[in-house]
Amino acid sequence: MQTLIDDLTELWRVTAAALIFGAGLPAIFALGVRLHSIAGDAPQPDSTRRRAAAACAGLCYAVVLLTVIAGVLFVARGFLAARLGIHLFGQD
Amino acid sequence: MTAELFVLLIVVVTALVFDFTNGFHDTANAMATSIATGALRPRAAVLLSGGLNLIGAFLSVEVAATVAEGIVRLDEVGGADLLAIVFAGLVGGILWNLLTWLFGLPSSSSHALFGGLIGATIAALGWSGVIWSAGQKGVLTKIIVPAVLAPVVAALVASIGTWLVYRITRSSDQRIVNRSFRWGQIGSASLVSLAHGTNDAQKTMGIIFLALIAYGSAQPSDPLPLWVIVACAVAIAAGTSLGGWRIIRTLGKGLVDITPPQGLAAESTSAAIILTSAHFGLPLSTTQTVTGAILGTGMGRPGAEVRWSVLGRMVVAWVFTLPLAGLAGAICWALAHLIGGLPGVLVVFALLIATAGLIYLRSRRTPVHAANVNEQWTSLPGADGTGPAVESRSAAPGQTVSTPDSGPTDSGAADSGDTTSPSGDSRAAHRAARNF
Repeated sequence: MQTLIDDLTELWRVTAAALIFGAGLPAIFALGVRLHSIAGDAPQPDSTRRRAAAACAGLCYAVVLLTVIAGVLFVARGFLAARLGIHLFGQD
Repeated sequence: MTAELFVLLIVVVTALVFDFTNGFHDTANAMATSIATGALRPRAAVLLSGGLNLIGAFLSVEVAATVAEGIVRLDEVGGADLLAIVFAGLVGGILWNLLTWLFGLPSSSSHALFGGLIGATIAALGWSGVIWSAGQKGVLTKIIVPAVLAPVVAALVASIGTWLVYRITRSSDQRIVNRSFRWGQIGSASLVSLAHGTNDAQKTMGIIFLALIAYGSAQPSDPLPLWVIVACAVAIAAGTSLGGWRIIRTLGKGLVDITPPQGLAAESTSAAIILTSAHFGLPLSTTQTVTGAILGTGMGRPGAEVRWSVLGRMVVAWVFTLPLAGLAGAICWALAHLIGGLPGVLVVFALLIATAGLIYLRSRRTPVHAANVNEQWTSLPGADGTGPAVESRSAAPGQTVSTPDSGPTDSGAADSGDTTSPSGDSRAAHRAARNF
């Protein structure tokens, strides 16, 4: 029974993390794509709107890129800690 | 060379062969979606995945000299007895991997290995040799619960992700949408490949290390020999680069017809679950996660179709993974034990080579490769069609391929209406005939 409750708690955490990174991140990326598309479509004279959209799109892409880099470091955290002495994500 | 050393060599080679099948069986998990949407050319995709698996394998540290820890009780066994159990388990796992590859079904390589080892352990030590259910240990908690939960969680998250992505970009320039999502997809798929190399190569390294200890040439306190790391990394990368095209086709084209936004949603979900679930103490199975995520993208995209019959076959394969890999492992152990010593191991090894050869020859009847992996979906690569029934229906692929978007309905209608075939197993024959 205790195992089941533990499993359910863990399942909730796993689902929450999956929602943030698995659904939230694609949504941010999609937002970037949409702004990117707006920046491409905007009429020529309206350069402020265009620039604002391009900047926001860049910001969205940057968030996604940084998360992916964090993901790579997360995979390599054991290696970085053991071989290079760089301790990330609470790795001993 | 002594007989013991020869047995050790065979066990090490078998472990590397398993590592290799692990690689080509799991290429699809990372790359099926990128290949299906055309984000990467098929060859480029498997080579990228292979390279990342290689790097991932070298990132493996803290390899423990264990095999299926918390699932089988092998700490009481040592020496030649332990080698025999591990060897039989590996052979069982390899055979299941090859068989599911032949049918183009994504099934978990870890489960195949666990199944083989469980079978060999039961045969050698009896039922008490396996930990069925005990708190955080055991078959129930470590294998069955994660395998059941993984597709459900992944499908839920991926369907939400897909829905959001489509909702956000529906009025945008579709050229920019497709181009951007292809890039995003490559990034998320690469992360899955890297994580795969780190997780899966590590298991084989542990098995080889355990075999070296059982033989007596290494101590548990020794560092892992470099050649073990290199050999395992190269084996899994080579397997991945070969590309398990049959499984890639099923996951990328069979279950759902994937578009770039769906591919991104599926791989992001998979990467998120694979990277975080172990951290939260509930490591979910990779294969089941990826399959669930791809399924979810089919449910989340407006107008997309899911081929439930393909999913049904996959689920059947998942359910039978442990029992059948276990049966193979048990038979191999019994055979090796009955003959005894080096001859026993050699006979089982020869049987493995012969069966693998047969499966390979069978696969040539309906080859799936880089050139046809993305063709219009007709059916799973059948291996069970034999005789004239196959020949008489060889015109079928052309007809099926020429009607786009007829995949699921055509498949169902053709199967149910296929009563005129002279062959008893007409459905199977029909499936095989319509393959390439």
